[in-house]
Amino acid sequence: MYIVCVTSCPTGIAHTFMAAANLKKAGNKMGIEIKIETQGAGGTENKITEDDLKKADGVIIASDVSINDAERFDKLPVLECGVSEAISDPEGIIKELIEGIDK
Amino acid sequence: MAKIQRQGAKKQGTLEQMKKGLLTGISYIIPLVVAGGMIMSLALLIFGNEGARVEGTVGNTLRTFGGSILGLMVPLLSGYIAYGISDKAGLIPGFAAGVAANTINSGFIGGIISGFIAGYCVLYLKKIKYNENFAGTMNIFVYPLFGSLISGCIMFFLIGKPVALLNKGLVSWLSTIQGANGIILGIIIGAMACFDMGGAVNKAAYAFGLAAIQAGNGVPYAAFAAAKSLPGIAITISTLLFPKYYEKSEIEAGKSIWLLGCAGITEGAIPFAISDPFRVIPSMMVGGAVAAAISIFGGSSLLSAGGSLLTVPVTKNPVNWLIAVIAGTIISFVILTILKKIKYDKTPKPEKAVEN
Repeated sequence: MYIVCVTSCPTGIAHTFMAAANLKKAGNKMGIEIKIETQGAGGTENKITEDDLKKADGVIIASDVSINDAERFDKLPVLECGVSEAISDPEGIIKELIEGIDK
Repeated sequence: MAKIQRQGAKKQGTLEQMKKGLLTGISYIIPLVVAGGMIMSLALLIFGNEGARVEGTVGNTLRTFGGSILGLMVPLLSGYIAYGISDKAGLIPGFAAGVAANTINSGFIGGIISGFIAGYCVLYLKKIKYNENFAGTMNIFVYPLFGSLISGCIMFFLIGKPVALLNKGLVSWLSTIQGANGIILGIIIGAMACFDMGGAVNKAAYAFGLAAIQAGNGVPYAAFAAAKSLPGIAITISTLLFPKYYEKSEIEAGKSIWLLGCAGITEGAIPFAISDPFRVIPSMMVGGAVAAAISIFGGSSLLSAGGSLLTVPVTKNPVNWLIAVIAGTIISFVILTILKKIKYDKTPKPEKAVEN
C-alpha cells in the first residue's frame, strides 16, 4: 500500500505542516508507506513525482484551499478533507481512504 | 477525479466551493498586504507624515510604491478566488474582473464578488461541449476572452454601482467606529481571531481587517493583531509558572510558542487547543476580545498586515496597543490557569486511589 497526500491551508505556515507531520506519523504507525506534499506559503515541498503517482494506490487531499495541479490525481481514488481533520484524526482519514479503495 | 464519497459528509456544495475559493484568494494576498503595507508604513514612519508626501522625494516614492502594491490587492484577491473555483482558466478572468472592481471603486467587497463572478462564469463556459481539436482554442482564446468580458461587463453595468455603494457605506461606517460600537466590534474581532487559532473563523476576521485596510482604515486590523498575538504568549506563561497542570510534551511546546505569538502567529497554540479545546479556546477568546476592544477604544491603527510585536513601530498609538496585548494576555493566562487547575484538582491522583 502506498498513499500520497497533499496538505495546504490559507496561511501556509502551520496547519499545512502539522497535518503533514500527523499523517506521516499515523502512516508509520499503521505500517503504510506514505508521501506527503506540502503546499505552504513558500510553495510546494516534497513534490509528488510521476513515479509516485504510478506507485500510488490512493490520494488524500487535506486542504482548506484549492491545491495546485489537482488534475494529476484524476485517475486515482481521492479522499478530500479539511486540513484540521487531518491534524486531529489522521488515522481515521487513512482508514477511510483504505476502505474507499477496497470498495 | 475518482472521488471517494465520505460517509455522512455533504456533497461538495456551492457554499463549500465558495468558501474554498475565498480562502484560496486570501491565502495569496497575505504576503502582498505585508509587503505593501510595511513599505508604506515604514515610509511614513521614517520620513514623517508630511515628509513622505513631498513630490519627488524618496519618502514619497516609497509611500506611493507601497500604496501601488496594496492597489494590487483587489485584482489579486479576485483572480485567486476565481482560480480557487474554476482552476487555472479562471485566473485571468478573475484578475480582469478585479481590475473592473478597482475601476469602479468597489473595494475589497467588490473584489470578492468579482472573483466569484469570474470563477463561476468560467466554470459555466467550461461546460460548453466542443470538439477535442478545439481544446487549445478554448483554453487560450475562449475562456480568457469571454470569461473576462462577461464578468467585467457584469461588474461594470450590473452590480458595480450597488457594490460600490455598499463599499462606500462600509468605509463611512468604519470611520465612525468609536466608543461603545467600537468595543462591541473589538469583542467580535478578538473572539473570532482566537476561536480557531488561524483557521477559517480567524481568517474571516482577518478578511474584515484587510477590507478596512484597503479602505484606508487600520483600526480593525490593529485590534485583530492584538488578539491574535496573545494566545502563544499566555500559554507559554501558564506552562512556565504552573508546569504541574500540563503534560511534559506541552511544557516543551510552551517554551517555543511565545516566540510565534510575538510574531503574530496564532497557530502555535493549536496543539493546546486540540488536546483541551473546552479550556483553552474560551480562555483565549475572552483575552482576545478584551485585547481587541482596548486596541479599538484607544484608537490604535495598523495599515500593514502581519501585525505583531514586529509591527509595533509602524502602529499608531503603539502604547495603547501594547497595553491591549498585555491586558489580554494576563486575562487569558489567568482564566486558562484556573480552568487547568480545576481539571487538575478533579483528576484522581495515584496516591489517593491507593488510599481509597
